[in-house]
Amino acid sequence: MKEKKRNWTSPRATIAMLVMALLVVATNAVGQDAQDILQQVDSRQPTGTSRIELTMSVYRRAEDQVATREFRVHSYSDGDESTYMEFVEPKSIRGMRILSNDEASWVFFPSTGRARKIAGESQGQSVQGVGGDFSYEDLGGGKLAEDYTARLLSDDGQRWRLEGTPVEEDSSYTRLILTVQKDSYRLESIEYYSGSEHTKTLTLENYETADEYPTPMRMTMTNHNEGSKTVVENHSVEYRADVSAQYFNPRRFYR
Amino acid sequence: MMRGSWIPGTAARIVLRQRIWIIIVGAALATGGVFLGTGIAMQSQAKDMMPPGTPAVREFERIQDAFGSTATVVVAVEGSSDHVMIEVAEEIADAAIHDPVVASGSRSINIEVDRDFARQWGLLLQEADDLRTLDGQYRRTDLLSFIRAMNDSFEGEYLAGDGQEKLDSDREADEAVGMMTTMESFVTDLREYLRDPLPTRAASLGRSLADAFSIGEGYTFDPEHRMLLFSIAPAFPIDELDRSVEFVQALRSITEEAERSHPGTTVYLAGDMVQTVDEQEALSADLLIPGLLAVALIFVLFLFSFRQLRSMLFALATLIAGICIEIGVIALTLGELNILTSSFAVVLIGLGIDFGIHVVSNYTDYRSEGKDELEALAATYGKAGVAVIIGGVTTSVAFFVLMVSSNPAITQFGFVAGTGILTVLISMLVLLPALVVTFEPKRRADGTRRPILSYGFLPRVGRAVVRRRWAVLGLAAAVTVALAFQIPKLTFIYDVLKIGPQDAPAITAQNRIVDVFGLSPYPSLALVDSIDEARLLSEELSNHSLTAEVASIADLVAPKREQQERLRIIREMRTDGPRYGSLSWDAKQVAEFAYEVQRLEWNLVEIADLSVAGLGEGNRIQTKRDEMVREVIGAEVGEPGDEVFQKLIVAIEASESRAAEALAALDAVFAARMSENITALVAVDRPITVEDIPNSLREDLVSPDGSSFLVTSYPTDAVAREDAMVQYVEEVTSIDPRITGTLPISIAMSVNTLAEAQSASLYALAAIAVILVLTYRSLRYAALSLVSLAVGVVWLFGLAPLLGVSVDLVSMMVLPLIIGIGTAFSVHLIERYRIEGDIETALRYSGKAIFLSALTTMIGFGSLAFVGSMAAAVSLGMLLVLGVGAGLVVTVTVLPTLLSLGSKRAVSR
Repeated sequence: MKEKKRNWTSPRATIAMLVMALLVVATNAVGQDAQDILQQVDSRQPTGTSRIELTMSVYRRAEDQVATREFRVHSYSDGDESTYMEFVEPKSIRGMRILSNDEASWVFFPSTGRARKIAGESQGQSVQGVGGDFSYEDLGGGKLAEDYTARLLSDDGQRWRLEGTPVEEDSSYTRLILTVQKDSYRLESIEYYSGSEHTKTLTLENYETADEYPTPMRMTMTNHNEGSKTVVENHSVEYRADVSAQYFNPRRFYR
Repeated sequence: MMRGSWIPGTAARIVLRQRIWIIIVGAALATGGVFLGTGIAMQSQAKDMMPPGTPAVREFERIQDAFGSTATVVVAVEGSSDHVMIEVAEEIADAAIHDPVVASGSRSINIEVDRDFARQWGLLLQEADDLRTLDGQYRRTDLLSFIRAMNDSFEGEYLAGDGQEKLDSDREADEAVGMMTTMESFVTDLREYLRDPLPTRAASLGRSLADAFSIGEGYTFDPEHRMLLFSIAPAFPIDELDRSVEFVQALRSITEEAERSHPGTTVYLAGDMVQTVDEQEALSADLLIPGLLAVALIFVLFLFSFRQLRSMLFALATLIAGICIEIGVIALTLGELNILTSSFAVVLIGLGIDFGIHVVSNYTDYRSEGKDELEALAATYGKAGVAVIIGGVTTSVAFFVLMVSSNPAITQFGFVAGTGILTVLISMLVLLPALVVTFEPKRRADGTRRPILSYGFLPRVGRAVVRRRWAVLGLAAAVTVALAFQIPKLTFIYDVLKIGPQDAPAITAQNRIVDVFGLSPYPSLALVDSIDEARLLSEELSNHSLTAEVASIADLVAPKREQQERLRIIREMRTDGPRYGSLSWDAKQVAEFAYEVQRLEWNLVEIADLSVAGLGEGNRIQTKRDEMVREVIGAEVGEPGDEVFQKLIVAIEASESRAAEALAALDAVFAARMSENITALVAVDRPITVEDIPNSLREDLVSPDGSSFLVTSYPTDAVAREDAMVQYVEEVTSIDPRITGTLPISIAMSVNTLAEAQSASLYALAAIAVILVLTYRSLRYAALSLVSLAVGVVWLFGLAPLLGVSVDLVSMMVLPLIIGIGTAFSVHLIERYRIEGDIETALRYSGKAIFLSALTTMIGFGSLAFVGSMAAAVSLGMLLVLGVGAGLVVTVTVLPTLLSLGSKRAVSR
């Protein structure tokens, strides 16, 4: 697949941070068309720096109760520009760091003391292998209204169901179906389709307010093709955080 | 009916008059049966126990038709090193070639990949991306350039770049661990060489390293080189059982000799033929050992229960004679037994002795009351005979009804058990009285010996339950309802492999291979009509999460366009120019080489770190890294490992001049050999066709006439889990319904047998109900008999999950058995109740016989549960012990209370 570069995209963004970017604080809105709704969602995105502590649990089968693998990560983000992740668990890779920006990714291995640059990946790939069922495209930040042409499918009084068709041709998906709460503009779920096939579903739950932004503390991506799922749980979320610029410097992030 | 008619007296007179002839004919028939029985074949192939139209069976037969025998014997060698394992494998192969039985019975012995084929076509079998990587590695063949290129390749493949290798599946873990093992051998051999760098060692190590890095491994090792596998293809089908047994025995002698001559080495034999041979032994053992144990235990029980022990010994002798006669019946009619019917002897011991107990118990009681032989025998026939015949006929009908099944295994079971019950019944009614009367001592037996167990508690139990009938009925209803809620928790074992002999050498071997290779030894197979079809199916199966490995002609013959692209890259590789120049080594090169070894370690450490992302912590790549290098905990060091790289670096740096000299000598051979191999590899200039593939590879992929192709898919070891196996079979057969093999056939057989057993049981129940109504001429008694039967069945299937007992396709046969046994119990009590008029007296006369019948049946089947070889026989035994136990309790507690309802004289005053 041709590499997709968009100025809003931070393809190596952390899982939580970039999913966060899809979420907004809500205000009441009435009488809007589908594109307006997406713009409302976009206009409430948190901007600037953030600091998140999260756990990602990957389940080989969606019905499993015990995760196949689990990662605990400290993540720092500078808007959509750069993301820095440091692994806390599992212990064997404690201290491994990944810096991502629009240009590339860099990995620091504490086991050897080496930092290596990693070239770009295709949109459909799992995030550096640790993304589980989240691909780079699923986590892509930026403006929904700019990336998708929206169409209102239904309005049940409580929530809208919107169909989003990607503007760019090289998307892994042919359409998304987004469920948005009318009173809050919170995203409840995103269904991902490739052709006529429903490939994944993202559900967003347990909203809490962090620095004025309602934030889902639990996100579950169910992969219908693989029968697997990945759950991201945020333990602490801080927006407009005081984050050192060193974390986003490819020559200094590992020092 | 017999009771009160002339029939009992006439029958008794005939038996008394003809007793000598009866004994002679009985003995002759039994002897003849044993003689004929030696020719009975044991059929354990799952496909032979299925309805012929079953898709999995039909496809399996198509494959057999196209390829001839699909049987394989897998030889697995575990030893301390590659060298030892290869030596043992070569010895076994050599001995096999010179053994008359193995040599004449083998189609091929494939110990090693055809090296000429690998040298000629090896590059064309690589994918274009891999060829580009190899191009970088093969440009310079001197040791330093090669190791540097290898490091560049690792950093490109696993650690960076667009073609970043994902490490998130078992297959990728296998490849990575295999690569790490190759590196381990490389640095370890190099260190050994540097310790004592003789020129001869330089030559042999240089050649072997160059061959390993260019041509690849000739033998099939697991990724960590713990085990070497090779296969022997028999030239005859598994159906030829005698030949299979002889073949496997001859191979076992060879492998045992190899183990003896190489202490510390273990050789396993596995595969469908070996398993079939082991199953034969287990089936034969289940035919004999539990039977002998059951007879012994029943003898002990009789010792404690009867005054006239002699009569009970005659009952046992008659039982054995009846079984021998039945063996003759089977030999003359079916000529074979299967996994279901192999334990029929125990079934007949458990059920058949009951008839003898009733006959002997009644006859001796009447004799002790002062009746003469004729009167006693006539009374026995008159009072107990009816119940014995009803019980026997209903049980045999329950079995005969199974013959309506479309499943040949169930049909056979129905016939064997049905005729067996009748044979034993007739023996007990005719031969046993003849023996008892003929050898009855002149002195009256009563008073000569007091039995230890009198069973006098049974009438008291009957009296007690009838007096507290509502409490008993309430309690029984509560227990029944509670147990009914447990029935949905009953688990069914679909995996036929789990119901075979669990401690057989073939199973041990298979389990070990599964452990080491991480894949199931039971491949799924599909016959397709073209290479393109094979390619498509291979790709689809490869993408399945439970598939470990797929092999088909498509692996060797890529599409034309792809082959042209590969040939284009190979042509470019051909023009790479000289692959090595001066091979002199100085201190700088030695230092660079040591650095590349260090880089190799870093790369492997980082690859193991990255593997955590896709495979989780503690995965095989990490484990291998921790063994080879050291345990890594982020920036810290955990448990020490072998430090193979550091040890080599120390050896290199110990004396740079010595290392330079040794490495130069090694490089002279290595670089030249690598260059020579690569020159041969890049010489390929045309696409490969089926005709280019050597027979040793082709015969497993292409039918002899070239018209059809076999796709073989090995599932991961996860399918050892029941749910994963069912899921795997469902999903792969939905990919292509032509997929067959042991697992699909196993599932199809279990599903079919379960359905057939359920419907057959309903038919049996209906037939028994009709017989009971006709016999009793009373709906009430027939209904009471069926109600007590139903309660017993609910108790059985409710207790089973509570006690952790599962059901499988063999033990599902417990249902018709329990229907037969449960009916017999109730028939005896009801019949006696009708004669005597009250429960207490009925239990006084029939209780002992019912109780002993239950105990002997439980002993008969319990022997299977405790000493059975086949897991299915064990499960069958446990279920029957539970079922008969439940039936007994229901018969002596629930049935008397039901009989007493609406009766004015339920118990005597």
